[in-house]
Amino acid sequence: MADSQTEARKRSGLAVLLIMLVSLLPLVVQHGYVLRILIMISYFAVASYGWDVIGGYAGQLSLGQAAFFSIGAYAAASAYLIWKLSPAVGALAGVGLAALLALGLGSLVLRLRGPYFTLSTLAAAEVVRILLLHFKSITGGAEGRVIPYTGFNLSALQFATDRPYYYIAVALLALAIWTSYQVSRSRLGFQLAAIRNDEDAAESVGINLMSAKVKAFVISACLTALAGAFYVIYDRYIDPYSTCSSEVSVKILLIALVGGRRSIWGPLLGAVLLIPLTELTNAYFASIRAGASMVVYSIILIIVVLYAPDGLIRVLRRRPSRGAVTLQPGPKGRNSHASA
Amino acid sequence: MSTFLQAMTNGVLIGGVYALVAVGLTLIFGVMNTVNFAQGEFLMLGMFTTLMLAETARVDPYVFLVLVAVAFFVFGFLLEKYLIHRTIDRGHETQILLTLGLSVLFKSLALVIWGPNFRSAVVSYRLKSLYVGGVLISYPRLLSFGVAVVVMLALWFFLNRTELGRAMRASAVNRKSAALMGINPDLMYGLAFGIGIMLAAVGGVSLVPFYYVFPDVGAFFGTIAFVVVVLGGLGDILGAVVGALLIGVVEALTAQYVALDLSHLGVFLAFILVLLFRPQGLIRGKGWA
Repeated sequence: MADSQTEARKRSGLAVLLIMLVSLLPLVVQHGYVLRILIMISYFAVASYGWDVIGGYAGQLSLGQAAFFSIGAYAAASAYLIWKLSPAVGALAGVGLAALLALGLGSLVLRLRGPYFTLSTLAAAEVVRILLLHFKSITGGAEGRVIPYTGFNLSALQFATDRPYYYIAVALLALAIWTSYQVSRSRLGFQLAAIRNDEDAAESVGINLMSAKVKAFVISACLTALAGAFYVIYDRYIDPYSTCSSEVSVKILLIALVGGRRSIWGPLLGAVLLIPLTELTNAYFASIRAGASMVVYSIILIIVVLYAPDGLIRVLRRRPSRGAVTLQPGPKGRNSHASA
Repeated sequence: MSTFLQAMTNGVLIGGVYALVAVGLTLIFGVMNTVNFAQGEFLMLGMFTTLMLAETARVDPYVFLVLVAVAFFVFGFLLEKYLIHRTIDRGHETQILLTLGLSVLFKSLALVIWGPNFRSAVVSYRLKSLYVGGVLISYPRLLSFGVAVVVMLALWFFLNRTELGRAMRASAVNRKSAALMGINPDLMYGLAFGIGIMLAAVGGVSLVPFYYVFPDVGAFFGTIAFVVVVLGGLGDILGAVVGALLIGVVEALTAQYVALDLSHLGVFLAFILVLLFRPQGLIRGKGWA
């Protein structure tokens, strides 16, 4: 008991230290480019925490997160450009739309086992891109849309410097980490762990497979859409290829995979490692050809899949994280919790 | 009526290429229980290889059909032996992630090497067509369909009339029993993957005379192949052939009667409908493997 108290005190102390460090960071970082990378790390990590809920905790490989990312991004951009609303309102609408899509698609295909879910998420992202390219009057088609900068404007979320964006991005990141933590220790998390291990066994102890999987997919869609909305608010430019290509889906997935799935810190670690790497390769190879960063990405993906499928966070820690509960020889308490 | 027939004809003709890519995919799945996410990229690599050879030698792309086929068979066999094989018992997810990594690797390497531009081969018959009963039949498309038919017949012969082909079908039905009968499963995996990607590359060769060549071209054909394979039932070769023609027609009709740029939307809607009502596949051929 005393042990867990000191543990808790240590944890909250660490958290306070972390928050102070993160909030003071932009005051120390004078270089605009570094701040930009910190922002990118944050929103890609948010998208990736989203993927981790369905691809990690639920064990259902989604290759269509770009669909949700795009829906969030286009909702935020369209709300501002077409209906003159705050992009924040658009972001919320986008999150709602993404949740609806996940609910609809998930209810249809999550009942199938095997690779069907993965294939249908791929198809969903293709459909979203085709629609974005087709409805030019709303989306701007292949040329995309630019959100003009009109000076400091709080409701339009336009700021003169990157610092406010940094704080927004970090707040979203905190929300994503909190969500991951909540999922991992909730009833849903244990249900998902059971499903991941053995769907038949999970069903036989009374878990509603569809309900749990669809919930996970909806949560996943919401976080990824939120990241997409922030992306367009920050970058003020949007087109179907930069938000809805398979590269986006792969990037989101890879971040969680490299860092470590089903882990509170895994996706963040992945983003911290991969985003600066992308920027470096892009900067270094820009004079040669585009595509160099994706070469690096794909090689990392292959190496991680073959040699570190549990992600680097577990290589560093050498112990399974909370979320990685396996039910076979697990403690009785957890089993009964999952079936309760 | 003639626009309808025209759309049908175009759909069936491109369906030949879809069949090549999809049958390769379904053969790999049937024998190895592996979903190959890089299937479309092998088609793309086949296209670029053919285009480069044809441009260098200044001859017709079809000259290199056999050479490209053999080269990709060997490539596939080695790739399976040294890379894919490591994931054979590690579940769908690992296999999908590995082949997805290969797919992105090939696509981005093509982008680095050849750039993003659309290229096309110079062939004299590019725009030639036959006029039959009010329907224009594009000559290079007909040729590509002919190649698909010949290759399909050869595959049928291999799988049904040769010892090796029968061994492969036996492995597809039951890996363990086949191994007990003295069939080397590792050899079957290599052969299946080699033949599977060879079919995609052959499809690529036959596309070169009438289609643009660019690094992203495989993404489209690969996705179509998934739809076709699900339509036909995973691992079902005859189902994939029928599914490919069906998808070709659905696509052509959507392009004709709805909107040109929505042609693939019809395909994906068909996909979702099939998943909804007949996830085991629309057509139960099961005759070949």
